Amino acid sequence: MKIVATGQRVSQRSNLDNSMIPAINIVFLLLIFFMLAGHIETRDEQLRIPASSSDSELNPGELEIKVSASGDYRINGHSIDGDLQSTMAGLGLSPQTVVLCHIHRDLPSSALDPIILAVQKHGIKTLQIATEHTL
Amino acid sequence: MLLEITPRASQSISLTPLIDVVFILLLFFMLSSTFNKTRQLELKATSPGTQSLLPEVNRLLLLTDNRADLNGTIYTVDSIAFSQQLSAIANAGGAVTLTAHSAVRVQQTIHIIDNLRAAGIVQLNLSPSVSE
Repeated sequence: MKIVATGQRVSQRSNLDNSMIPAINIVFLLLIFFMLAGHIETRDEQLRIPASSSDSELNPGELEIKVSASGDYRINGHSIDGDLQSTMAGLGLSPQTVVLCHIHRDLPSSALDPIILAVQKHGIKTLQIATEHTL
Repeated sequence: MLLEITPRASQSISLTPLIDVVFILLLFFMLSSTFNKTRQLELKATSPGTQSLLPEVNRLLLLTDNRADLNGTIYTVDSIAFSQQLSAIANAGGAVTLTAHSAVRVQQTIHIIDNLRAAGIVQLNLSPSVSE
């Protein structure tokens, strides 16, 4: 038996590599797009803020209240022991204090009541609610 | 001594491992990236003393089943009649005090606040929810 080695296979492989180059280019472009345009953040299923069409930039409030799906209230990252109003009373708030509220979207509106009442009690004028602006 | 130098054949670097890594990176960024932006809605909390100072306070009660009670009349939130009423309030420079039924979800409350803003109502106050 006589085996004749030809360069056919090598040229086929070379052609395959060449035909893959546009695909690789597109993959690189997609990679760059997702790296630059997207941002990675932790997804907290316990605190999914409501969606809205508001386009106002989020300013960090002096007092940040987070209400999770389980109904737990946290002020500036610390969980509270008693009720919200008494906890806020000890913080020395002024009417100019800006309160930013992150609240889980599926909670009943009554979950906002302690915050509204506390804001009223301290004469705070501005209450900001963090929302998600979806594209 | 005579050395025989043979020209080395050019070796092409295989692109396959590089493509594998790039695909893995692409999958990672596609699955983990989000394009949602965190924004804010600014509200004024109602204080009982200041309500009487507002030019014309309209009371809006957000009910379940996508309904709303505006000054005693029940509307469907997404209806044209409701939008017209909101536009009329905005044109008159009126203020709205929004109260949600306690069973209404936060998302629905935010949705109606969006509608009020879109109608052009600037003076919007949020009151504690009611259960009846």
